[in-house]
Amino acid sequence: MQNASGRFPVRKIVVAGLMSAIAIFLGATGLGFISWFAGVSITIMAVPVIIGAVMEGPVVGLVVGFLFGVFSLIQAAVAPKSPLDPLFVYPWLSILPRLFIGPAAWIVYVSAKKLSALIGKAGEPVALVLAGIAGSLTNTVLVLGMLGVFYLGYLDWLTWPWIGSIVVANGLPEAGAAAVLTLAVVAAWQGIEHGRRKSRLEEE
Amino acid sequence: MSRPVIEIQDLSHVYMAGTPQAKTSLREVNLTVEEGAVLALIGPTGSGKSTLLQHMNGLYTPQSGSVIVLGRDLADRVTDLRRIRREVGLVFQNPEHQIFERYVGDEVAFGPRTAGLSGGELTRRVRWAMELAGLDFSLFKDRPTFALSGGERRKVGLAGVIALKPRILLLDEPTSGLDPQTHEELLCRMESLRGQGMTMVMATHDMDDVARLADRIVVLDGGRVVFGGTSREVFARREALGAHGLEVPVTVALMQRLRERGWDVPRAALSVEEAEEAVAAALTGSRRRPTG
Amino acid sequence: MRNTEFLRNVTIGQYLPTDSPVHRLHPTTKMLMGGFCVVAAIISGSLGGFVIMVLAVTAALRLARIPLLYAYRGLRPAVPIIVLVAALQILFASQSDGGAVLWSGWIITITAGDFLVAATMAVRLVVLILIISFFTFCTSAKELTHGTEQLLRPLGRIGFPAHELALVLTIALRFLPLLAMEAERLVKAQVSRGADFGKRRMGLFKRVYRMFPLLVPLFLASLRRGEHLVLAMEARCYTGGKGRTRLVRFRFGPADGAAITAVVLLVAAVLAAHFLRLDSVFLPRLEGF
Repeated sequence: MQNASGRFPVRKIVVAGLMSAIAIFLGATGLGFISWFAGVSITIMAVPVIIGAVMEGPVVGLVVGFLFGVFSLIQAAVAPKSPLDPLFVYPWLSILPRLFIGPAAWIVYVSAKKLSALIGKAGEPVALVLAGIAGSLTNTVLVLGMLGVFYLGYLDWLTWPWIGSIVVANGLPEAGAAAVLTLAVVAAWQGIEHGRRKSRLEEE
Repeated sequence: MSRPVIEIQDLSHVYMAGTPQAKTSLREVNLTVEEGAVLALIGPTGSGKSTLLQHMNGLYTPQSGSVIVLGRDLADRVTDLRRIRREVGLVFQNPEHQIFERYVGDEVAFGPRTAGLSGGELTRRVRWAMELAGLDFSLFKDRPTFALSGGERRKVGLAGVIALKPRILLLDEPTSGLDPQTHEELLCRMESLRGQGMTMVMATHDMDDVARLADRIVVLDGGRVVFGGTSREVFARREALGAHGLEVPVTVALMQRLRERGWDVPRAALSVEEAEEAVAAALTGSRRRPTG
Repeated sequence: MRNTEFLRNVTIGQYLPTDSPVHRLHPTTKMLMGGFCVVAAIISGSLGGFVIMVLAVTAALRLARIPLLYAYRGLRPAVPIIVLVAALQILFASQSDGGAVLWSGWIITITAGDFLVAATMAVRLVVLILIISFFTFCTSAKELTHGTEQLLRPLGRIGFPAHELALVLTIALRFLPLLAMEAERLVKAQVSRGADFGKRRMGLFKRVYRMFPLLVPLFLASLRRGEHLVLAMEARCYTGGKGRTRLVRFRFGPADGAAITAVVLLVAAVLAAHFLRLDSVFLPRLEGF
């Protein structure tokens, strides 16, 4: 049977819708914020974007990122979760960086798979991990980058090294979290085994 | 008469209280469960069965009224709810949806591991729970969870809760959506748990399951307890049950239809064997069995 | 996890159906109005312009029969960041045309101009929050999807997948309450097995892993639902947006024309104030916050 409107088959539309819903949900309920210490938290809202991109392509990733951005903008205005949140009413902080999460994750995913195919190893788990890292880092770097671009000359101490250290301190753990979560979900969905191949139970 | 392990008095509960979507899910419910008994909660969809179960293992603290589980008052701030949840296990409907681990062994081990078990002890506990649920330990412990059949997943869900070694087992629709074979297997498992003295409360729509397993029944509708009693007592009241949209087990229905036609059979039979004997007795015209 | 009633967070509870003339506007009109105002607020840097906008939004709130206290209470969570931004500006920012230096020492430089800049930043943030909140007060989720589709339809004629995008939004919004219920069930079920989503301190990776019993099944359940939805849509012969009609239709009316005109005038006024530097010469232009 002829699938819907050529370019955008039903499955892509549905996955985009669902992943967007999850991203919005994680933000609205605060479940997407994993607290670390003293009010600092890492976020995993990039993960649905990454999973959407990895499973259905860069366009789906773009759409999910866009909707995530728009809703984080709305949320920043009506129900901010952290004191820094209200700044996200500015679309260059909330929407623009998020557009790139999906495509970045997808590019890394596809490249990693191609590379591993060349070496001859099954690269799916590694590709998923790398895609997760790439997507999350894109989010971190671009959001903080936007902060820098717009407000750099403004305050004397708001300099690139300062921003860079936040990227490392906050962004790397966030990337790691995104990587393991992406791997767990997509591997379970696609029925791929990876790593141990058996349970962690010890001998009796 | 054994001691009560769950005592519920005047329990009321409003879901999403304070919002336009607020809904009263429980109204002044009174209920007692005795040690070693099997209680069935029956009622139409939305009658509050699940909410009631969720009060019994401390997922909710009572908004009004009291819930005392294993001697401990759930409304009391000092009560360790986590410990209550370990002693009162709740198997949710469709427990296969909770599976998040890669391998069956790890999935079943999740509960006891969080409770502090490790090493060989943990493995022994997992083996025990899996066997009780009907899963061969060596065969399944390293099986990936995505490669399980529906029935196997259901057993994994059950094993995950049993692994906590609860004293009371709560089950929400334990056999819904199962193929006949797994359904029967699960019933046998539950019967054997009952034989080992496990107190059980099950919310279900399956009247045949109730007939087979339950000693007592409580009927809920609109969040209220409408009536209760032993299985025989409750199933004898076919019209009353019908008024709440509930059926009776096949065997009971058979007995009642036969009685309508003048046959000398008891009002309720709770098993196929019982029904068989009753029909045989009626056919051979032997002494009328005492109404049960 | 004390409160598992996630449905609370997710019902777009800001929507107040007061059936005012504003509510009855076509959703696309409301979106355009909101959009124009937000863009104007972002481009403009004039304090006078922002003050005009605050007054305009307040008037609109009255017209929409939204209690002012309710609307302004939504600003409360933003107060810390507003204060912070203002303080940073006043204390640290270097403005060359800021006017008289009031106090200087160490790393702190306070000029007269700083206060005005800080005020402008603060008011701009307030304006943006008010506009967006106002939009959510008057627009329901259903209207949002209709409005988006109508808005994008002209783009659809040049090949942009307007219908598909609107459908994605519809699915997402429709799915939110289902997600909330699923998440609630999952939290309860896992907690019944001993899961601890609570506050106990542990290393970061342990904390992430601690959320897996909720997150992984949530994703998987959603993907499963997705498969069913795809099947259902195909079974109902969904073949895309060409030629689709709607059951519920919104119509444009004279009120919409009036509203758009009013907004255009407002935006013109604000932008004029900015570009023509109609304010007093001490108010600096804003590029940043």
